[in-house]
Amino acid sequence: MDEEYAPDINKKVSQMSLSSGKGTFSLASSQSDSEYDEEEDDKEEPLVLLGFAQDPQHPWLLARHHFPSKAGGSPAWLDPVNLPQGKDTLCGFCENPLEFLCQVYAPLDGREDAFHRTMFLFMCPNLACLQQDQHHQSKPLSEKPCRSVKVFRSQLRRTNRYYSKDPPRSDGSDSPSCGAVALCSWCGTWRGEKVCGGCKQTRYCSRKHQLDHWRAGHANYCREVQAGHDQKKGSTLGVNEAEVILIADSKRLTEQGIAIAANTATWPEFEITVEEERDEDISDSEHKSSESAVVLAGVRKGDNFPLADFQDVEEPSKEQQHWASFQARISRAPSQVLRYCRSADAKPLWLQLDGQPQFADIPPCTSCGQPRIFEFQVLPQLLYYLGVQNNPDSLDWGTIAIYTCASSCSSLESSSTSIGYVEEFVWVEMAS
Amino acid sequence: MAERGGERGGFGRGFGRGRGGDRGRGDRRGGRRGPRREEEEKWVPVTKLGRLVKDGKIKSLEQIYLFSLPIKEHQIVEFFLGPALKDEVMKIMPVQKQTRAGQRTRFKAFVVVGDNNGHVGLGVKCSKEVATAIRGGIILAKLSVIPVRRGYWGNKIGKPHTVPCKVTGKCGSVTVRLVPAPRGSGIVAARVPKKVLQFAGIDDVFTSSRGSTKTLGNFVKATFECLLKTYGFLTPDLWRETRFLKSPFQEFTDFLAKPTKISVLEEVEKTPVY
Repeated sequence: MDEEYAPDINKKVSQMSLSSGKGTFSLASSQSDSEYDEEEDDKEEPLVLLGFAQDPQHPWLLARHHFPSKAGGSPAWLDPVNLPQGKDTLCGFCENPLEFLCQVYAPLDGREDAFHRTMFLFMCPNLACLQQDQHHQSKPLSEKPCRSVKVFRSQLRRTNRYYSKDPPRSDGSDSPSCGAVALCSWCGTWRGEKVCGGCKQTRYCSRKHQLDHWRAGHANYCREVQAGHDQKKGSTLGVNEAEVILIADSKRLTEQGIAIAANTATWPEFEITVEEERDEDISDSEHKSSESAVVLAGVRKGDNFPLADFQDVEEPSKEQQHWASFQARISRAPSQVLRYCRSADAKPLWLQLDGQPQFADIPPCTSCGQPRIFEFQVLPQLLYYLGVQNNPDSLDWGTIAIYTCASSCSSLESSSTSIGYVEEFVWVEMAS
Repeated sequence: MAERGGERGGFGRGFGRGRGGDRGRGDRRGGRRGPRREEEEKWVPVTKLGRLVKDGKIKSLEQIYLFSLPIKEHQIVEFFLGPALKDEVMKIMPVQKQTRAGQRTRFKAFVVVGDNNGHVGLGVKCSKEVATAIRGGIILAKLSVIPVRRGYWGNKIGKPHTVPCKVTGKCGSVTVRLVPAPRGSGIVAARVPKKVLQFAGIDDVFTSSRGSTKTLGNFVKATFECLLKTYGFLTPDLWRETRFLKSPFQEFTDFLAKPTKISVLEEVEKTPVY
């Protein structure tokens, strides 16, 4: 039975017929004994790019005019002006602003309107919301479904009003050519539309962040400002030193394009570096063959047990085999956090057999109507790097798969309201 | 990294490598492969239990057994049992399947792992190549490690050396009965279960079997069932009332604070206390 469904524009028909009956196609479906797909490497699989979470070599490398791929911290918005607003920024269940998980810079070759292209992934850190989200992701309604995990795509031409058409210098001395819209001082993620009534300087995206910042030390600072004290020497009445420095530095940093957030409890920031996934035979064969040769010699020599003895030992269940093959694939590069493969016949790596989406579960693009194809997936190793707690109510997922418009439509030029970010589809597979 | 410019004129490529090119075998040597080699040997956990183990919040394998939590990563077992865990390939068996184009031969590997001191596991893996089958078998065996309880035949002098009581296990038509034996008896059993019992760390035992023991697959599984039951049997020294503890997934700080003694739950396994 063919367990994997990759929404495939070109081969849609053949896929459907394949899934309905066992054809002569040489996929896993032709095997009658429960052996998993990894053995049948008959056809060439598309190349998979892996992302690894590493500390950035220089902090300015994560500024938005360097077009980074990063995880944690604050997003380096590609289009700094037309940010998602309103309901898009909130979790559908608890109405709290979403937290930034990762962004992936993935331009498309040969497309002028996708010279710069980034996907931004946001998530509510509440596990209860994620569990409710599970019910909602598999019924894509005609209107916008209620989700706690959201992904936004933005793309720009080479010549645009925000960045120069020349690449940035690699010494950190650049700054983006156009200023950004003011961001929330607490999360550094969303637009700061609301201003603090006291000091009239700090901006917030939501009431919740205003409260968090107030409790975390803004209360003192705000009173200071209101009383009209000299801000540079604000240490007299126990104002948080860090707060003062933050306000002073924030102007400089935002000019450099680096987002800052007063919230120190966000997930730690990493740069995501790219590498191709290498084949198993090349890498492991040298250093594993020696040990298995020794073992083999021992077994063949002392062949104590006659052949008929072991006929009936049961093989592990299909679920266990699937998990074993997942682990085998991951073991080529155990510290990977992201798998990128934008192809019509890409097969995302699932942890379990039953959490996978069917072809019908993935809705077509809302703006152009084209089907969506798999682009990349986030793996649970990222939870380890982000230092997420392991309490019963802390975040945990199996894998998060992102599906984007196959034709990567850009409604920027056509629409008058200049939508900077298009929402795409996320499928979360929970760990059991 | 020389390719970084290309037609993009100096801009980075990020994840854009074009739509799935061919896998050029042998000509992909990553520039940053060097510093990552050591990182690759390090284990990055994938499951929540793995993360708890890596953090050091769980002190021993017995805590995981106590709550019947499924162990999905073999590195967890390696973390606790470490170098004491020995593995042995019992048999490589070629199995054949008839296809239109002749026969397709694959190799089935039977691996038993154990630390000769109360933990044993059995793994079976079938694969096209022998090396892959052995590797897979070792991993599966580590995932299926079970604790084995040992006791005394008579006087409680020295270390436990035999099963605590008569236990019996059944698989298919084969029933295996393990009977406590005095010191120095050795393992009185057929070849295959003898190997398993050696890995489990049982020094002396008498066995009695019934059924079609020629099907040694079932024979081995029946022995396994027996060993699993050693910790399920309520003996008089366990009559004291069990004080239930919170599982590692629940309020971990409380769990560490209380002075704990590993108490064994009753026979009914698979009731996780979440």
